[in-house]
Amino acid sequence: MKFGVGINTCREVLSYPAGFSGPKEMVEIAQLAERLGFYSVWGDEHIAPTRSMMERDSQPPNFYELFVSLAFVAGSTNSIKIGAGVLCIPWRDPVWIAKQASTLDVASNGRFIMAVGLGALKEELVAIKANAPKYNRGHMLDEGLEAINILFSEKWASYQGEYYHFENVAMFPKPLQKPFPIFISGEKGSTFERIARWGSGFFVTPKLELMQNKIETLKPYLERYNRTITDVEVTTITSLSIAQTHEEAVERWESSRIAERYRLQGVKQADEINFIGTPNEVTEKIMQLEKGGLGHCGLQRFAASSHSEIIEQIQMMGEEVLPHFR
Amino acid sequence: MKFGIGIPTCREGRDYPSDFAGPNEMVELSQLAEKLGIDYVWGDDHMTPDETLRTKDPTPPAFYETLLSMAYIAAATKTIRLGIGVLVMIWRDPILVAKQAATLDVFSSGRVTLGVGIGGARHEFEAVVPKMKKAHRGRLLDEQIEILNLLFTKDNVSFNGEYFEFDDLSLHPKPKQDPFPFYITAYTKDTPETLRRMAKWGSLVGVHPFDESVTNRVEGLKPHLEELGKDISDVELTTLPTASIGRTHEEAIQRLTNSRLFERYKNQSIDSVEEENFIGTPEEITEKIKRLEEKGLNHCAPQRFATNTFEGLKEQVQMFGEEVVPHFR
Repeated sequence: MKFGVGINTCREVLSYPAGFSGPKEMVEIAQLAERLGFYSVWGDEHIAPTRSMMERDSQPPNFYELFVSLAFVAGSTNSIKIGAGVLCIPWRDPVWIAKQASTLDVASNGRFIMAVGLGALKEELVAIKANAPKYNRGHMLDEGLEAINILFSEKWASYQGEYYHFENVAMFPKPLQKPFPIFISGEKGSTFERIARWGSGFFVTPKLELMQNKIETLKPYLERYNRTITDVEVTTITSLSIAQTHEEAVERWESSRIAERYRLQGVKQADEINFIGTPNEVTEKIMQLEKGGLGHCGLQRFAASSHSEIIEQIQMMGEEVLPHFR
Repeated sequence: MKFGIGIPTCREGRDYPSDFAGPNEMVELSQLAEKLGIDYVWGDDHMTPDETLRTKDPTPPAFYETLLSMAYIAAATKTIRLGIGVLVMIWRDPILVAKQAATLDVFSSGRVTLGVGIGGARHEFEAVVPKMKKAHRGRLLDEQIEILNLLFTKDNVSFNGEYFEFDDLSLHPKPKQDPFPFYITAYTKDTPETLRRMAKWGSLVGVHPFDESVTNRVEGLKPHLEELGKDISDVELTTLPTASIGRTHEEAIQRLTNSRLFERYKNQSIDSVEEENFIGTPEEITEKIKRLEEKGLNHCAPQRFATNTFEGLKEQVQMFGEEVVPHFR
């Protein structure tokens, strides 16, 4: 089992209070995770808060740009994989994405994992592109993936689509990793086709039944591309609340910004789709998921009201959970 | 006087041979410059070589994206400033550039100077953004700089221009530096448009390192600065030329003529190449910089050095740092 941790690139307001942490803390988490034997560190991406997000705390939330944050983190670490989770493809031109992705992959000595998706909210795309209400983000993602693949593989890359167009671009350096790992985010519609065609990995909800459903749905798509489920890494994006007693973990969870968001969205049984409990309980749950096919356990968010509470939980994971999987 | 050196982000093919240097060498060079007391490293920006450049060497030239290279370098340095000279804006979205530049400025504790420009090579932007073939690159750039500045300083920004439109946008974090320094230059003949742009936005403004260029640009800028309630002391006159440094003048000339970047000057006399760049011994270059300092030059940053090897580059950077820079401290 591979383990990953999230850093606070764009998690303020939604998962943590505004002003929660900055570059120094992101680097600290990445370096600690590397020392403890975690496989990967992940940043997420938003562009701008809505007015209500602006007013939620006493200061606006900071959303640090994903690529730049990851490049800095890469320069501050040696071996841990650097994950973009997820990069919102429709926001950027694919030539630019490919150039930054290959630069990051080469600079990090082949440590970059690029998970791609549509972006959670269409509003964010509309906020930066006035014409976006007319855009089909799924088509943009499909075209983007195709274009990026051409840029990564061809000497002279050309592409003409509905959204993207370039002619004779010689994109060098190519990424160091071959094949370059692209993870596909999403739950519906064309997601399965995208995973089968382009994915080195994909994301699941860490609940056995849901995870297995997604795996089963995916299998026939993979077959069409002569691939099997072992060719794609089953990965979670989830939240963690870990403590020495179950009660403490639950209390930590209930008082967190993450639980508040679930309550607002009316999500019940949030505890079933996240990891809440003692090191032993969390270990049990991950072992169960491992049997069901989970390969990469990404703990992107932590139930925490301070940075030190995150550090404490990563430490607990590293010392009391990870050793069970070696 | 401030000093800088260029790091080879996108210089293969034209200035250095392919496989000249990668990210590790860029970090090594930046750390060397920092140790030598040099104030800035400068990276340049390209997206794709044309066919001639692509096939010049057995492997195609590698162009490393500038902002990400700088983020990587920022993590490996402490104090040296990160000059982006210049970011080609035509193939970038200004909102994402604002996001990336502000993030880099915060991560680096306020070490970014962002050069923005239209980019020199037509083949390049026609390849990357064919739909912009008919764009007026000057007006496009003006809109983009205005957007960067608005997003860096204000919340709830709306913009409705010829090329860009968005509504009620607030980006955080803002850059750490306030005011945030832009570097603006123009390589062609000055026009009222380019002079106005430099006067309005440039904390650093580009010049060529010879008397006439410095004097002309200062005189050209003055009325535009005045109109904005500023004067020439508000801008840092910055030069990013070629350098060829040798133990003797002859060695410097020989290094120049043996180097890949000499092809830039194939239609120019050696005399004029010498006049417009830093070619010579450390003493000669020191003298030249002293003369230009009197004319108003504030910042010398050879962005390319006449050599075909990374070792050769380090040697010249070392000479520059040890035998030129100290005369101005």
